[in-house]
Amino acid sequence: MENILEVRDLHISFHTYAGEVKAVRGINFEVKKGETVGIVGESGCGKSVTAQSIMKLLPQPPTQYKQGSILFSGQDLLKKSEKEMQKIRGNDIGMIFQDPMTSLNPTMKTGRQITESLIKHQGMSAGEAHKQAIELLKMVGIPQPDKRANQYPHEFSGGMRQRAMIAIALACRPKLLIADEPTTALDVTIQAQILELMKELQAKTGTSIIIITHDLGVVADMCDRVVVMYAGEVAETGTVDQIFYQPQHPYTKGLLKSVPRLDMRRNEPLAPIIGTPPDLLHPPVGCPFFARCEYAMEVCRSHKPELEEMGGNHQAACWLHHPLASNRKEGFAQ
Amino acid sequence: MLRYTLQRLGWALLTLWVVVTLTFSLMHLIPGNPFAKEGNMPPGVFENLMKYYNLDQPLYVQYWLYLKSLLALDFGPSLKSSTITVNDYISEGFPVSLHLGLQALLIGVTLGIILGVIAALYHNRFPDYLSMILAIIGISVPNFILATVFINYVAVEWGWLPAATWGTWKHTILPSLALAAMPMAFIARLMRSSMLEVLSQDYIKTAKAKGLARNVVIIRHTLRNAILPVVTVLGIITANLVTGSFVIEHIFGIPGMGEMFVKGIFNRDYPVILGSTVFYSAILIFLIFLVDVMYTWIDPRIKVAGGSK
Repeated sequence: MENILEVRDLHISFHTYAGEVKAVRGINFEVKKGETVGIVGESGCGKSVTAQSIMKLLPQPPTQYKQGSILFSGQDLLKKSEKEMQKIRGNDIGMIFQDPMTSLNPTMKTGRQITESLIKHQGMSAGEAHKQAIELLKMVGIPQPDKRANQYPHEFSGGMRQRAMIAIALACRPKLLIADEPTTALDVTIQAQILELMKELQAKTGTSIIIITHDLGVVADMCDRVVVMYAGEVAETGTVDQIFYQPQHPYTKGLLKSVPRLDMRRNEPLAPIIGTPPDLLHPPVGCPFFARCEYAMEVCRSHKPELEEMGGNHQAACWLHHPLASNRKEGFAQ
Repeated sequence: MLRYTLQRLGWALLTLWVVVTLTFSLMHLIPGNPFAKEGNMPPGVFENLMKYYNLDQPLYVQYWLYLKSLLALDFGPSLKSSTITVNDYISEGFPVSLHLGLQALLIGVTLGIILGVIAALYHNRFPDYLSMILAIIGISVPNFILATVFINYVAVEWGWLPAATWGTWKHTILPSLALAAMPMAFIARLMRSSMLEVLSQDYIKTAKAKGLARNVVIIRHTLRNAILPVVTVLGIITANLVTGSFVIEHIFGIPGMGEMFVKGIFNRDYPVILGSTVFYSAILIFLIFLVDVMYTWIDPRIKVAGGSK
């Protein structure tokens, strides 16, 4: 199937007083039409930066797109002017943010916040757009949409606001929806509802979705493919089954192990990944996970592993898969 | 809304009563009396004067008499002139001060908001530094210095505008500018920090993600949310400006209220002091009420207590 989005060798840096923070360091991934791709990783691994860079929402300066390309429907977004990007944002690419409590304008009626992009991109009149906004509110499962459209965000609950955000993001039927931790700020039952809604709407509209999250449950529930990011790089990528059942990178394995299970014994300790991610002001020369990896070898300190094909389009960047490391790998495979 | 307004009115009257009582007590606590400056006045005349203005009565009687006349909106006679009452002073001085104050307010608020917005949009770049330098000058240079500089250059050296007195609109320009500097600077700083905060909010990102142009994001989504702190101080700034500034009015020779108030204190002219304090308080209380109503109009999350939508 055709790729709606291709990110190629993307490097993003922030220029700060302390120096250049290399937040994203050469990542590659693609999103196919109608597919859901999850980008996972812990805080500061560059997943949100990646998501926002697709929309070019990061202010430049201090952000600098150092190299690479973001091909959306074959066109490089990094080469587009701000004016051209404005035509794409909200129209071809929609975005949902983490905290619905703060991502709606508190002094503007909810309906009006939906109509804005309709008027801008679809050339609708205010009246048509208002009708369409009510339709959209109905579509995202908000009861009494005609009344709700005239209310302010503070009159909505958190789940309702996220539904309204989804209505805004999907107003112009975008080809790609970027959801930046869409359920992190919601309680669990609402999380499930929002994810259900997103799946349902995807089935209806055929839009592709990128979900940024650190919640592996969300990934298992929603995604076709997963990109595991660590320290601004892709550690491993593959289908959901490949990532969950045959993780090939110690970091992925650690992430999976750290998820608390329902069948855990009461006093069984949680299994965190010890340590902290590297400082991206001075990224390590070798494997960025070296310092925290229980399988680390001498080579990992000095040489950076490249993404290697594991079979079936499953890729991981780890020296354990090198033929010379075969005896080390035995311990890992268990 | 009506109930709320009545409630507020009740509180306003109570506040005014406290202001009157406090001012009354403080005024009489200061040693001396209004006629001490008159030089060697024959004792008989002095007694007659004291009697005429009820100053020979016990304080509580004077207080009671004053409250009674206040209820009739009568601020009493001036002790310095047998023919002019405090009401006359106010009705003569206030329109002048109001005119000057509103003009200064308009200049100060408009320029302040514009400077603040520019500073925020060009955060840490040249326009930001320039606006903030202007703001620092506005805050730290006293307005009497500004006024003298204006008079010296604009009026005397270049002869563009009249140097002083009150008459045509041209006379109002220099004092308005001198008065406007401080509120302008204050509002510019306030607006800048408020804008910066709003610009970092998530909903601004949402607005950008809709593909809205930068101007639309700023005008439609940022300004309204950023202006609330400015509105908060607007009541106090307005009350200060419209009731007149002694210094500016004195320098430009403007017959406003500020001059009357200060002279009243120097002369121990009790009714003038009380009258202008009560008048000032009433205006301040009214403006604060207006600000509260404006809040609810700007920010739908704020509702007036007991008010229904």
